[in-house]
Amino acid sequence: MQPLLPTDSTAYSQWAGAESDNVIIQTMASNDLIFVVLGVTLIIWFTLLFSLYRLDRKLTRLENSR
Amino acid sequence: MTAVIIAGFLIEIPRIPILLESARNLFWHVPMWMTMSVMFFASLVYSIRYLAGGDPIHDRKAEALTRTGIWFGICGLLTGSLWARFTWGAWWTFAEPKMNLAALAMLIYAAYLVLRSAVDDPTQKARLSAVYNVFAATTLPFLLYVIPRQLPSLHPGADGNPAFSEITAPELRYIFYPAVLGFIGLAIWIANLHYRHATLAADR
Repeated sequence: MQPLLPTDSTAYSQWAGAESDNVIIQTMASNDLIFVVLGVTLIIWFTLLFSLYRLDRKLTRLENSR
Repeated sequence: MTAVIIAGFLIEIPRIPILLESARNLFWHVPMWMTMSVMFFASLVYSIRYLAGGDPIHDRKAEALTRTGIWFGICGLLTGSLWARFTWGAWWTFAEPKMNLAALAMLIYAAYLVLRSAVDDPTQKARLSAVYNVFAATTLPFLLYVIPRQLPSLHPGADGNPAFSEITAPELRYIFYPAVLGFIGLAIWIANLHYRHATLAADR
């Protein structure tokens, strides 16, 4: 399907990733960048999860030192 | 508060309205920075209260809030970097003042934690870090709000106008505002966990 506007997301995916040979980058740029949103969500999820995991470890250390 | 968190997440996912796919990152990337700002501001309040009263509880609260704020700031940087790769074409660009100054703010706050771990005496640690926190919090509005608006920027809202204005579609706002509240609620809970850990560690 032809993009109607230059700012259409299809046009975006042409210059913002489709030029790359990397399969991962190409996949991310496909489907109107929806995987970018997924990636952003996962980054937040894993960063916060990691921070809570570290807090958990600190608590374990505290418990063991009693 | 739990209800706010749940609502923030439940509302977001089912009805995603928009056309521009990656514009949905608005619900994730932007609340990170708002949450971080709220955490750092609350931390500043507790640091000032510590300096005024000398109550170690306030010091521990300030520390917990700063730790939480830094994690959210890291989230904001990483998500911003990913988003930038596919809309601006690069993971990181030095032409973008907000990006670099946000990273600088992260370093300033990381130094807060380094300072804390460097001092052994609890009272001195609390007092020094409270003073440093006041300094760090003073730089924050300039780094994130004032300077980026004086420079050309790829972010929306450069050139003096506030970022969140008529350019944001109303459908986005119905999800954006609960998302902000939800993330702030989540952050308050995480900060509370950090605070309780610090209290346990101090009582030992």
